[in-house]
Amino acid sequence: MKDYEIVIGLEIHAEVNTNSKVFCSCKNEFGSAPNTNCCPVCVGLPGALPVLNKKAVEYTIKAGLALGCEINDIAVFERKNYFYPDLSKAYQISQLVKPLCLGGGIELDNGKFARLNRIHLEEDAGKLTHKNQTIGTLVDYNRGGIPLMEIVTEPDISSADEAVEFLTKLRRTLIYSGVANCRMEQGGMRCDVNLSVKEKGSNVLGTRTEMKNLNSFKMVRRAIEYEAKRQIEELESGGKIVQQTRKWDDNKGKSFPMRSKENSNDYRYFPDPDLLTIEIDREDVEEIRKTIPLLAEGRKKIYVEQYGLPEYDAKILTNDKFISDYFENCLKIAHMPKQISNWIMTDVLKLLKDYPTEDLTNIISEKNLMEIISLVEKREITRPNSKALFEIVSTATISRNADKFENEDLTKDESTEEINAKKLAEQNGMLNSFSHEELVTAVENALANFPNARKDYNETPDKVLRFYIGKVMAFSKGLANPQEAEKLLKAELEK
Amino acid sequence: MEITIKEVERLADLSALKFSDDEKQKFIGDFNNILEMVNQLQKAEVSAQNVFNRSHKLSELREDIAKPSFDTELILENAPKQRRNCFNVPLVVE
Amino acid sequence: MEMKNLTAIQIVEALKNKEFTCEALVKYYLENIEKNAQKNAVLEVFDDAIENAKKIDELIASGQELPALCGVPIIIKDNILYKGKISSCASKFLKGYKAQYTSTVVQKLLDAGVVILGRANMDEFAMGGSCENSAFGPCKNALDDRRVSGGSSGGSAVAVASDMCAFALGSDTGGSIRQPASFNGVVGIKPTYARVSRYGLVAYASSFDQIGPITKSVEDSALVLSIIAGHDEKDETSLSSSVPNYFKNLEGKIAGLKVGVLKETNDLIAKTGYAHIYDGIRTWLESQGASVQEFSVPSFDLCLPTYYTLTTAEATSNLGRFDGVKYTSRAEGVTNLDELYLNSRSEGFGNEVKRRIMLGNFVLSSGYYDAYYMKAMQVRQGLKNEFKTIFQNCDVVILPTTFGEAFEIGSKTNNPVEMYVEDMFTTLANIIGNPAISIPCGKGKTGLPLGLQIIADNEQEQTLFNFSKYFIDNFKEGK
Repeated sequence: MKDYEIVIGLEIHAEVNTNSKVFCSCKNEFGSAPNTNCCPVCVGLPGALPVLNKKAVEYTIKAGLALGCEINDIAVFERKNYFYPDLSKAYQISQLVKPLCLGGGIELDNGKFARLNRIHLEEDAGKLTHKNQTIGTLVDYNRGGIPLMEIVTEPDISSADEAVEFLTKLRRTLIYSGVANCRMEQGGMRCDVNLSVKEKGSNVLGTRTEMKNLNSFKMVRRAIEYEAKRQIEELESGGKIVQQTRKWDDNKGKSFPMRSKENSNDYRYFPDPDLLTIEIDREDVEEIRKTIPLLAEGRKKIYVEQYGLPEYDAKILTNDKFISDYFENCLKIAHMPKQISNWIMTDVLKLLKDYPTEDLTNIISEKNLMEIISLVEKREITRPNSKALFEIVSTATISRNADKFENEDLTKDESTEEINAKKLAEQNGMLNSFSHEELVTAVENALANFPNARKDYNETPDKVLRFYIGKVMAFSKGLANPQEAEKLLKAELEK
Repeated sequence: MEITIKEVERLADLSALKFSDDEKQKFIGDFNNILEMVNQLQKAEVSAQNVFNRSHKLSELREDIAKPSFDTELILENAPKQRRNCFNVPLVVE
Repeated sequence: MEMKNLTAIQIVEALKNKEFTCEALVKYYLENIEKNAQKNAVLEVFDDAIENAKKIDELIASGQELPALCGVPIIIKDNILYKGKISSCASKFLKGYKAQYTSTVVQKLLDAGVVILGRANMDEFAMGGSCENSAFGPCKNALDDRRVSGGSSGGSAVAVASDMCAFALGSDTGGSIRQPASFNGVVGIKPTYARVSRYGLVAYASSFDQIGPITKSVEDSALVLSIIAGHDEKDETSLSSSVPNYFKNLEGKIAGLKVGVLKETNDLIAKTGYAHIYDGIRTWLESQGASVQEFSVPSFDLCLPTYYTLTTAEATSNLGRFDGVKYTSRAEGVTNLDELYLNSRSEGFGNEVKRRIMLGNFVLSSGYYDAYYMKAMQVRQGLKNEFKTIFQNCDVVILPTTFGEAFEIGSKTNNPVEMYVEDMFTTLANIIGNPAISIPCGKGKTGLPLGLQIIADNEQEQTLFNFSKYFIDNFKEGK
């Protein structure tokens, strides 16, 4: 068998995070009852006209700036004409000749720079639900007109790993910039894969196929692996690759050619006469640039350099913006980066695996986590007890938010009483009850029980002090406050 | 340039229109006359550049404020067929 | 007081002075519509017209301050949406289409107090110049039943000329207001492109379409345009500049005006057989203190190909939404999606509409786009630039509205191109976007009216009105 190289280009659609749709004022919202977020514009009623949403344009430019794109001086909307029931006007308003953003790219871990060709803004189509022969297909235009940015790469990607890494980084940048939520399970981010294979070292590109609407990274990976294998096998057996659009069937783990007509690629683009050309001033671009927040890399740097977190921890904390945000919210309550990081990295993330959510307060509120950390720091709770308390508080919080998880084993706790870590600790008898008097007694006992040790105090005061502190702690079963113990011991030893 | 039956069929496909054979023949006749008129464009001497609509600035665009939509009933008022608050078409095979 | 042939301005005054009631006036018009049913100008009389007239009478009786067009009965073209009423665009496809919202123009007129009597016949989807392309039968000329009303706003023009209403709304993509106005001896203006909101006008060719009034007088035209023009947040393309009060500023004036004529139209005018009339107008204008200068626009003869390339391209896309899925009628017995589209659209659209959809797809389709669509866009830009220069050197350009008086019904239906050539004088203003008005200027051999078309610089409608007022008040044919 010959050696082959895989050539992949991606087209990613991400729904832009606006309040209203791109060409009308209907809500940009997922999960509403059918045809409730609809108006003459997004249903394509006769005589209706599109009016462009400023934020959708600004956010697309912002995404472009975050990804290192050039922003065009003028941007034009065009009509892409084809008939399909999810396309209410029989054309999609999109951009071809003058997109908002050009160029840019993402650096992969292996040092490769995967280039972007462009980012443009367009409208999403409605949703079709295919029932059966009797009922037919149902058309819901709620999603029609939701702003989509289409991010098109150059064919720079050469493996499923690279593709998934690219997509992960892209998604992270979009989320951190605040321009898109990229909720894959809601179709908020979809990916088309263009793939061809060629003999290693050859300059001649192979015929490519396109796989549409892959809506999880796992699907992207499987589809790429399958399609590369299929094409190589086809060529090895003397066959030819046919340029076609294929649909990935995740259940079967296979892709199939989609039904297509001879004319299906002639979209007859032309400038939409209902929309004006947008003139983009450089000052506007700079204003937008200023609104780009610190992205994952920037936050990671601060975590390492300023908070002293290990590189690995900083990476885990910044992989997902919602985790990083949670971490920073905790920091605002009390600046204890290491302690917070430790709790998140171990206890919180472990629960997140079992209870996936993009809002960690569904698992435990920042306030409660910080309360637990504070109890530990103040030695008001033992380590084992703090873990038990975390378990109690998080279990209560999760069942309070049962409806926010897709987990059938959970039943919602409807009570409204505030979940308070400190109160729960008290109720469960977890708080340390080591009083000052008890500490005084412990100090006295330690000195009395080991009278010889103090003789060396003048020569090696620190060593002696540490010895006695150890004894006090052991005596108190770890409940004593070591600083307090030290103070008392010092006073006694120096008498 | 004379238009062919094949060309008429291609355009009909793009147009989502169907024609009987007689209609196609009649169409070819009319269309060739029209093309003769339209082909005068070819003699035009123009600067070869893109032409776009009038422009406006970013600041003139619509603010991103969601407003109430239409009632579903009104949206579906003229639907030739509806079901479960959706427009209804024969089963689409992808 | 006699109700016959009143202008909107006279009606407002008469109602205010309680010369008659709005109800009586509406009944008068409804009777006139009934009496002239054979004209086929009005597709439907709205059943709430009399009721709405009574409400106006109550408003007048209450002594409140009255809006500018209080109680003026009007008719709207069948492609302008009015919520709850059918808007069929004279197409079988939209025969039962009940508008789900009201267009901006209709809303503005309702706010100004008009009573909408009904909807006017037109060429299907505004595609045509004779009103013979209506799915509901041709509309006949106001003055001669054997002749066409003109189009596409034929029903609107005949309704005004035959006194079925005070004024009517039309839409003009390549002459659809001016040509029927000319054929029926009334006043029709196509405002500057984007001066009037298109929200709620069923689109034919979006970068050409403009709504405008067809009226019995220049004064009415000025008044109505003052009311319907202006920026609309629902139409991004609508002009944001403020609208002058054309009516208040109206001042019949020609002296000192620089009038342009186009060299390239001379031969065409000669072919109309009415060169003497248009030459007479030139001489008269000079006698009234205007100066007349000839300008050359070498690409004038490219107007028609440019127009038919660009409008059909836009139309093919605009008409895609009529597909039998959401509101247009669906062909019976369809079992799959292809049949749904093909059958519904093939049964729904008339022949001329199909022709233009096909042509539009031709000029946009891969391999032809640059040679046709793009070329036409460039020619259009060139024409715009040329006229920008011309209007730096003159105030108005005059030319005939049509090749002559209304032609006979059926005389051009077999040859689409012959019909298209009828638009020779009118498409220019839509291509360059400038405002243009047609006013009666004489009579042809048959005794039917001829029109004079006046084009001004962008947003200079006032100049058109001032010119037209002076012309109508002072020009007497053959004097």
